[in-house]
Amino acid sequence: MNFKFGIPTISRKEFLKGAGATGLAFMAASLAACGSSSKSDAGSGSAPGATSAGTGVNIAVAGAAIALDPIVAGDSISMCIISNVCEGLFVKDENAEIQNGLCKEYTVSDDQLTFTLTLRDGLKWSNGDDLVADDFIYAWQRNAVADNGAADFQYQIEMAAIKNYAAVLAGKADVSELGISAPDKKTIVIEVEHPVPFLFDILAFTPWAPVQKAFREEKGADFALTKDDMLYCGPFTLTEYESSCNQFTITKNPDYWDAENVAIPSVTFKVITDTQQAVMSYEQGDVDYVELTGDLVFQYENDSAFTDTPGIFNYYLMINTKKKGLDNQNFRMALAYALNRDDICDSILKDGSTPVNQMCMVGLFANEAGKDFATASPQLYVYDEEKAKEAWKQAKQETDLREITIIYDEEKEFAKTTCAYIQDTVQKLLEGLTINLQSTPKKNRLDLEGKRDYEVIFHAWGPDYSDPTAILAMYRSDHPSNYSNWADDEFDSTYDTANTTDAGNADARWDELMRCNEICTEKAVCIPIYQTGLAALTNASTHGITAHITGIPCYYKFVTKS
Amino acid sequence: MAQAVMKKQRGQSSAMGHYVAERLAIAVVTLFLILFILFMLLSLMPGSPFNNEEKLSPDQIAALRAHYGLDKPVLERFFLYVWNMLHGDFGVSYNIQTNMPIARMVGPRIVTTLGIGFAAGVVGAIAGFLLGVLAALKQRSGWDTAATIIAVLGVSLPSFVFALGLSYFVGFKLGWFPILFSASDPIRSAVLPVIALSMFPLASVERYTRSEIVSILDSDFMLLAKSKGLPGGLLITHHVIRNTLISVLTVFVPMLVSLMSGSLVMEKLFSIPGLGSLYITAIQSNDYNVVLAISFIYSVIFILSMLLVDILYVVVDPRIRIAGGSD
Amino acid sequence: MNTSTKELTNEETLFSLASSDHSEADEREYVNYSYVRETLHRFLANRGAAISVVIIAVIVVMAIVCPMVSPYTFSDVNSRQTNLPPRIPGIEAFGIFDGTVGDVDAYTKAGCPDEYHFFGTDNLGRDIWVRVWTGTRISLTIAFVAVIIDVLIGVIYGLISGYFGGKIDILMQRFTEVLSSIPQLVIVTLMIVVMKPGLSNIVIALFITGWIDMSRIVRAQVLKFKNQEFALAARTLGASSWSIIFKEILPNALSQIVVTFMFSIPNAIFLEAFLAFVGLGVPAPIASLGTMINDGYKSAMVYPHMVVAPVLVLAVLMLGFNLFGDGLRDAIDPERA
Repeated sequence: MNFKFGIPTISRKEFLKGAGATGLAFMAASLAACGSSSKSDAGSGSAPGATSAGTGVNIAVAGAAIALDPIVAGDSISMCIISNVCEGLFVKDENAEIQNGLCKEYTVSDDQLTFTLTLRDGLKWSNGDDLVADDFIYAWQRNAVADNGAADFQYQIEMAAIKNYAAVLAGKADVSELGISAPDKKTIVIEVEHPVPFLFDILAFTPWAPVQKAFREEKGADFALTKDDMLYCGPFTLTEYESSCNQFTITKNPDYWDAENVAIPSVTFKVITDTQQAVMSYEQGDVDYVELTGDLVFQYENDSAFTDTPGIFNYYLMINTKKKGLDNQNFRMALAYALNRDDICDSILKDGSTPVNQMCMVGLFANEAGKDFATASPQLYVYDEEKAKEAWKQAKQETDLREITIIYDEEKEFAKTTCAYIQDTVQKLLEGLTINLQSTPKKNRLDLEGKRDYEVIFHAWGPDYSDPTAILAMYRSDHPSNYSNWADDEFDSTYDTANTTDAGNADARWDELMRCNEICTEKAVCIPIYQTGLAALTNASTHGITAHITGIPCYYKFVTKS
Repeated sequence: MAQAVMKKQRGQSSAMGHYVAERLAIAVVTLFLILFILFMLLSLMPGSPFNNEEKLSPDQIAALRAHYGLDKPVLERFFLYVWNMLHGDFGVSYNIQTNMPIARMVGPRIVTTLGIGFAAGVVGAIAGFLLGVLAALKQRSGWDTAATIIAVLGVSLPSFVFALGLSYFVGFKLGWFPILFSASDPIRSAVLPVIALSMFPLASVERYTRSEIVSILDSDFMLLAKSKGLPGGLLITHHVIRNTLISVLTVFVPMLVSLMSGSLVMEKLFSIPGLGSLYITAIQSNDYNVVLAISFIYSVIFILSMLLVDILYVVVDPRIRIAGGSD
Repeated sequence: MNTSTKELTNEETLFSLASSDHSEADEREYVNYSYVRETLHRFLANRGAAISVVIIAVIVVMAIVCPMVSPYTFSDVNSRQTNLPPRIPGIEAFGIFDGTVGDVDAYTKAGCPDEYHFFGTDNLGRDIWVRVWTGTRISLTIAFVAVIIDVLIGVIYGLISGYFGGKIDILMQRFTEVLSSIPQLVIVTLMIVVMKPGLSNIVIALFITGWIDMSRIVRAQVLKFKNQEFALAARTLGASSWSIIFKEILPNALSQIVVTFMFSIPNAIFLEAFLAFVGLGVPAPIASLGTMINDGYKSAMVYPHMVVAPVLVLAVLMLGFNLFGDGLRDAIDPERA
């Protein structure tokens, strides 16, 4: 208000001087504020003797963490942080083998319906409290009732087939009647409805991490918002985390039960949004691990630091099988035969993606003998121009659909490229077919598929746990994610048998799920195209950084740095 | 006419005060209106604001909506939002940083974005102004050509060309400055983005300055000053520069506003945790409260600076005051 | 340099009519030139402006002709010839643009030793030369349509708001404030939901807020001129408001409008590129310069030719428009030259 009366009394020169000085002061102040705030972070954050410089590991990540609450976060970076600071009952080592985490030993009943797990001795929270079995029970119960509105992982309880969950969900039973209990401070008993072969795999996942009830209730709405609103029980503790910073650090936890085997003092996650910049940082030595995308994969292919493992997503053409014309199997088969998947992977994408001819992804699940489910499944609809034309000829007689629209997410560069390739090659191969492309914001695409209001979507799906059902479930007629509107009695019954009566019989289950995979591939419900690759550069001094296809990408307690 | 005379008699000072107060009052109404329109538009956006939407059942989505109060009618939600906002509660983020209060999420980013934008604007304006003066005073010389080339490059090339070039050559090859923004070294790590971001204001200010000075040099009062035998230096500083400032400032302030709203490209390239990229993400992911809060901040900055431009007109240009006074 | 100094002296002679050249100037039928013809004459006398006309003409012709005469099309995918570097006949003899990567001839490796892609090919094996010129066509169309609408709306709005002042002005200014505060991205996203994405939507997205800057500048100009002597004189002589606005004020504001117009074209193209950056650009397989630049930028470190070609064309195009704008301004408003 001074300003308003001050104007007429000062000369223009003074005013301009003042304005200039104010401007400079503002600039200096804003930058200084920026610096001081982060300095204080670094000061209070880093534990003495452990800095990110030393022999700590630096990881380039593409985005910031979404949340620190175990039942909220669904993105890989959040899950990575949470699972490394709040260890669960099980972990996965660098070979993706399940190892005991906070669980010391367990017994399984003969009918595979009751699991009794015993916790390790002397487990402590970072505030000094004992970590007890009830902390697990509380954490799982809050997941079951969607504490704080978080419903993202409720399905995990369902997948684990925890006894009474359906009743609890329907409001017919109290959450305490859920089939989980803690008879004493160290014992957890899990009762399931039917055998769940992948239960331990699920238990290694973030939403099954323990939460201390007293702490959760004390923090209220602030729970897990910042590093001070969390309790830690993992190999690391979160020491640098600001919602507005582009860097997070986890530092070795001296109170961790296996602290002597944690080799690195800290892990720093640097949010680098542009992959080319991330690679430059890698070349400068600022980061030890960077995941590559697009053409950079091709460029570094022959580098000694380059690794390429199967990625998590399958990309496919999702077809709305209720739309007129698209309900015609020959039409879908023509499309399925017309896609030159080798060409797409080797000549167009060149980013380590591999062709896929069935619904599951390589590396998702293997049986006792080590046979990979996806590789062992029947590989149908391999690119074949003649068969494509033949099916198209049939389809032309059976339906008058001549024009389809493929929707892709505008945010994805490779989606645009792949769809442009499909449009050009398939149109040339299938005479008389017109393919339109429509790029749309992701949220709009989700809305369209939710309303089942689309023809074809260039779609991706990633599994949440290591079992074929993580993929096949969505083809069951009543599954909420059955966006292709598809229903097949044989599929439904085979799928149900595999997950109920035969759930405990590994061999029968294997065959049945494979039959399910075959059915939906054969009917061309969705047309698989490729499985993403995961290409990365890892500094030669760093070992053991993994990118597991399901669950938590990496447990840093197994990482070493020389 | 009579009104104008009365206005004049009331004096410049109170007129200005009255004017500013009136504009501020209008600004509040405008902001309310902006919020309302935005709220309505956002409610039309397709899809839900939740992560993992694809894997949630309709029941779960409905439960989430109820949890966040999104199941209420739009109008009710709007007035609730405004009420909460007046009490300093901007709601929580739905999906970018789930359950994080907006103020804690957006607050620190404002400082970063405004700082970098302001620095880029000031650097660009000063350099552009100097170049423009030089080019105008030495018309059709090598200086002029060089300045024109810089100006044309500045407005012709997309900003990421400078950004990519700077980060690759100066940052990566020469290693003089960090290629990524770092909160622990904000000054040094902001150098490259600030330079890259300042190219556009530099070019624009250079063009305006040059054209403005050229027209002043041809004006009658310059002829008068020249004929009075004023020495060259004084002539330039007293008459030319001062008179140029007005037009430059009026161009500069709106430009500063757009700079301070954060550049998506710069933030992406230099990994700056700023408002621009957050804003885009929020719009694309339907994180309504983040969109509303940032829009609100932008609108406030925008409206205030428009007010500032109008005041600057009066303060810096004596002609406007005289013209108004002698009406 | 020599010629420009000569031009300068010529011009100075024109203005110093009182000198000995007086009679000569009189004889030149100078007085018979119409305003437009005179402006045109001054415009073409400006070397930069003349060059700009050539640049713009060449680019427009290229954009029309190149895609027609090339053996390739903008959408033809060729998975065996992806990411080929530029190769131009004639120049390749000098060891540049010869289609080699390191020492390997990429064209022979791709099995097409006889083909020439002047700007190389992209990751789908499409000819970048053709795509760039098709893209130029799209970008120019989008920018021109959008900016012309901007000018029409912006000038009228600015004139009315500035000239009438008072309540009308306040109301109109508040309206623009509200409008410019609504994020463009929200509007575009909503439009894409309502309508099908495409060129017309992007044009709408560009002008829906694009005219505001123009209106603001015109308003400032009106405020500057409306109380000056000539406007006052016209008003005293009983001219109507509209006649003052269009006959007195508009011509004086014209140079500023032209400058803004010229700035608006690169702005419109850049804005379109920004929309492309967040994925709201023209849908595949067509491309604008903006979408090409944004696609190419992601591979800039690996395949620089993909981004250099469209950036180069864009930069030259902008250079043309800027020089054109400068020349036009100087010609319309000779006082400033």
